[in-house]
Parts: sequence; structure tokens; C-alpha cells
Amino acid sequence: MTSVTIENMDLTIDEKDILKDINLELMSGKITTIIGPNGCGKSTLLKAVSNIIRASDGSVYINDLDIRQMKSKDLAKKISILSQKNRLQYDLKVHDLVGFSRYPYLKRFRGLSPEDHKMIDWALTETGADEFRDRMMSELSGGQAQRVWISLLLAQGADVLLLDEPTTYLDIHHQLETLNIIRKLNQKAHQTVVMVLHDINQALKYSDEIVVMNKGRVIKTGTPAEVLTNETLNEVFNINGKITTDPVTGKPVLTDYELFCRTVDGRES
Amino acid sequence: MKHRWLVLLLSIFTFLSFIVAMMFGVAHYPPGEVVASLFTAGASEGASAILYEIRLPRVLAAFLAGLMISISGLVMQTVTHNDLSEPSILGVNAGANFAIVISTLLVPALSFAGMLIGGFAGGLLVGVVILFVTRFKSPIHLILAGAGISLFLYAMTDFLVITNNLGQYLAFFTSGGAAGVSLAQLGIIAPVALIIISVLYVLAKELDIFLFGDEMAASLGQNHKVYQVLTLVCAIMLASMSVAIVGNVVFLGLLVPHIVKMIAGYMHRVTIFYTGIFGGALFMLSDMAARVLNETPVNAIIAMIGLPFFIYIIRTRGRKYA
Repeated sequence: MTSVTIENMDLTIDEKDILKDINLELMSGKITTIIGPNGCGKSTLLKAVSNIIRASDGSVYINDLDIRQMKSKDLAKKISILSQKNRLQYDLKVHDLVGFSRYPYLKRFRGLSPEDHKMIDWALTETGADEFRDRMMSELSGGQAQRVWISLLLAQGADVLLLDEPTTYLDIHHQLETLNIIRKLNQKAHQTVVMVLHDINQALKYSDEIVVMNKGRVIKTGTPAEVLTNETLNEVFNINGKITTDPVTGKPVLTDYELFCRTVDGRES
Repeated sequence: MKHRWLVLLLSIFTFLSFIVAMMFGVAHYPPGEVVASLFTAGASEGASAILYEIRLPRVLAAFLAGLMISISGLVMQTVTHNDLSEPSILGVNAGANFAIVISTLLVPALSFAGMLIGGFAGGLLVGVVILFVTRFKSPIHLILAGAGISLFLYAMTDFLVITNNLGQYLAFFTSGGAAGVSLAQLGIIAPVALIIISVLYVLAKELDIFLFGDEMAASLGQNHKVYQVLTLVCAIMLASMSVAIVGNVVFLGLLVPHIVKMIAGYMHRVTIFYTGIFGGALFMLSDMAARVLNETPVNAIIAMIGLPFFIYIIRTRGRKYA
């Protein structure tokens, strides 16, 4: 299992503070979900953890190794990220696309090894993308394409998986399908999963831990039951929610919500 | 399977292009004489001598130049994430051209190798300036900056050429064409081109990763900045060398990679090969047509094929740049 620790992270882009003083310990082998309003820095945090964007200050440690001290290929073997916008500029065959995930393992002058092919096959099978492995990406539906992208993430062989809004652009059926695949994998292989989700109920349902962010800061961390209070909803999302407990899972559920006090256009709710 | 047929087709096309290019020109020769001349290298007079001494270098130069321009265009398209990139649009050709004229003026006895180095320096400088200004971002900026700098440099070149009575340079560089290249010059360029293309071939995997964009490249652990610079320098070297032998050729570097990508996909291990050979063959034919049509500028010939294709690209793929 792999532990990820973020210490005193600040990130400034064009003199704008995107992240401020982030201290987090991500639960290894569990699913952590980051929620928060648009522009609160959720996606940036994921990118900073995977060193796609460099933090201005502070450090990220993976198993006590500072990611800045690691070679980029070694880091890619430890941590992989699925970005929100995965649009291919060019059309590729599914199998070829997933093959690129093995880039950090390739030796110069050599192609994919049997070990690489095994990982690719495993990843395609786990997500059910195996059945269309010889099709072109442009021929796939949104849900199918997302399964391919998750295969790509898996085949990279990292212990830490970061997923930035993996359900965006998908209908409700494929949203649940995607999240089920992620949960099933996490239970089988015990990767450390960190997601950004917009749907609060999905976050509550699938996560072991929830991180609430607002204006570049972490406001609250804890189990779904600890985090989901009307106070948090008021403060972070500016909504009033009705929270009940699911009789089956025992987890909290947000059953109804309404805008809280002053809305953007200034009317009282 | 598909590739076996493509390689076969391309080989036949290239071979026929070579024979046809050798046959037609100011004087026409039958295929038999063409083949015979290749085996009688020492002939000092008659058709064999003309074919071997004048036409062969020209045809080979055209092939090599077409190959270099097309591969250069392919790499530029990938590295800049821009379907419209090619050496003349990025201004690299204008830079190389300007630098070659300047260095010829400053050092009248400049050797061909010196000219090549001068041209490379000029191409590199313009490439760096344009990419620094546009930072790989918007294709619109890239085209505008390239067009602007090209126009400026061509104006400067024209000025230098006219004030120094170098009329023949002007005609040569603006119209393009492989006339007057010697086998000795090809002997300098060909090995260098071979080395550069081998480097690009070794880096094919890295070029493939560029197709995903910078973010994905970073998350796969690629030091993409290093490889971007390295591959782009290779592409600029190829383009600058082509300017030294055939002048500023437009459209070819845009046209050929797109045709290849439509047929053979995007993997660079494959596209570098196809683009090079197809580009070389196509330019051999274009140069032949230019020769037959009373030394029409070869750019005019390529533009006649290239412009409709250019418009097609803008109509079908240009929209997503908006």
C-alpha cells in the first residue's frame, strides 16, 4: 500500500492563489473524494499531487519520498491521473491507446514487453473494455470511451489513482457503472483512489473519506457521516439540505436541497 | 496486412516516379536509355552524360528535398499540436533563406556546408522566435506570427538581393526547384539527413506521446519539454537543408503528412517512413512537371494540388480550433 502525504502546499498561478496551505494525508487503499464548488482548486490539487502542475510551496510525499526528488517516469509508475478532459486530437485504436500507458516502463529501442501486454489485457478486462479493444476510439459511446480511459489509468500500474470528475459527460447509468468499476477495483487491488466528484450523493455513497474544499483551502475531512452536515452545505455550497440516513447502508444521503439565504440575484429564498 | 500492401504500392509509385522523372524534361528519353545511363556512369557525351550528370542529381535532389520537407512538416504538426504547421508557415524557410543570402553576401567564397550551417542558424532563430511568441498555444497565433515574420524576412531578402544584384537567388528561392544541384552537394546533405531522420525514428515513441497533449505526456512521465525542443530542432535542420537545395517550397510539408495520416494512422514509427518516401516521390514528380512546363515554378505545381487540399483541411478539421 502506498501512502500519500501533502504538506503545507501553496499554489499560485498568475499571482492568484489557487491552493492555500493544504495539509492532507490520503488514506492508503481507500477511496477519498474531494468535493467543493466550481473553481475551489479540486482539479488543481490533483494535478499538483501528480506533479503535472508544480506547487509553489510545500511538498508531496509518496511513501516518504518527495515527488520532486523522483524521476518523472518513476513518479508515473507510482501515481496515475485521469484528467477531466480526455479528448483525443487524433483517432486511435483502443488497444493502441491503452498501450501508451506503459510508456514509463519502455526501454529505448524496445517495444512493449510480454509483461506490458499482460497489464494491458488485465486493465481492458477489468473495465470490460476488452470487447471493443480493436475498435477505433471515435466509434465508441461516451460510457465505452470512459472505460477505455480507466483502462489506460489502470494499465499504468500505479498504486495511487487520481480521477478528476470521472463521471462528467456520462448519463446516470454510465456514471454508476464507472463508479462501480472503480470501487470494485479498489476492493480487489487496494489502490489508493482519489476522485473529484460533483454529485454529493455519489461522493457519499462511494467514498471512505471525504475532503471538502472551498476557495483553495481544505475545510473539512472525515467520513461521509462526519462531513455531511447542514453547516458544511451552508458554508461551502450555499445550500440548505435535508440529510437522512440510508436504512440499508447506514450512510448519510442528501434527499432534498434548496438555495440557502441570499442567492446570486439577491433574492431571499 | 494493410501495411504490406501500402509498402508495396508506395515502392511501385516511387520507382515509377523516379523513372518518369528521369524520362521527361527539356529533352525526353525512353525508359531504356534511362536505365542504361545509370549503369554507364563514366560516359562523357551523349544522352547518358546528360542523364547522369544533370538529370540524375536533379531528380535525386528533388527526392531528398521532398523527403526532408515532408518529415519536417510531420514533426512540426505533432510537436506544435497544430494541423497547419509546416516549415514555410512557421517561417523557418524564410529564416533559412534570409540567412543563406546574408552569409553568401558576407562571405562570397562560402562553401556549400557553410551555407547549410548559415541556413540552419537562420531557420532555428525564426523557429525559436515564433514558438516563443506563440508558446505552442493557439494555431491562429502561430499562423499569424509565421506569416508576419515570413513577409518581413522575404522583404529584407528581396532588398538585399536587389541592391546586390543577386537576381538569380530571388527567382530560385521564391519559385523553388531542384535545378543545378550537384551530386557532391547531395553527398553532404544525404548523410546528415539520414542521421537526423534516424534520430527522429528513435524518438518516434516520444512523438506519439505528444499526440495526447502536454498534460497527459507529463502524467505518463515524459520530459516533454526536452523532447519537444530536440525533435523541433531536427525538423528545423531538415527544412533548412531543403531550402539550401530547392528554395522555399510551400504546401508540400502540409499536404503529405495529412495524406499519410488519413491512410496509415498516427503512429510515428509508421508515418515518418511513409511521409518521407511519399513526399520524396511527389516532389520528384512535381519537379518533373515544372521542368516539362517550361520551368514553371514548382511551387505553382504543388499549390495546384495543395490549395484545394488546404481548403479541405480547414473545412473539415479547422472548426475545432475556433
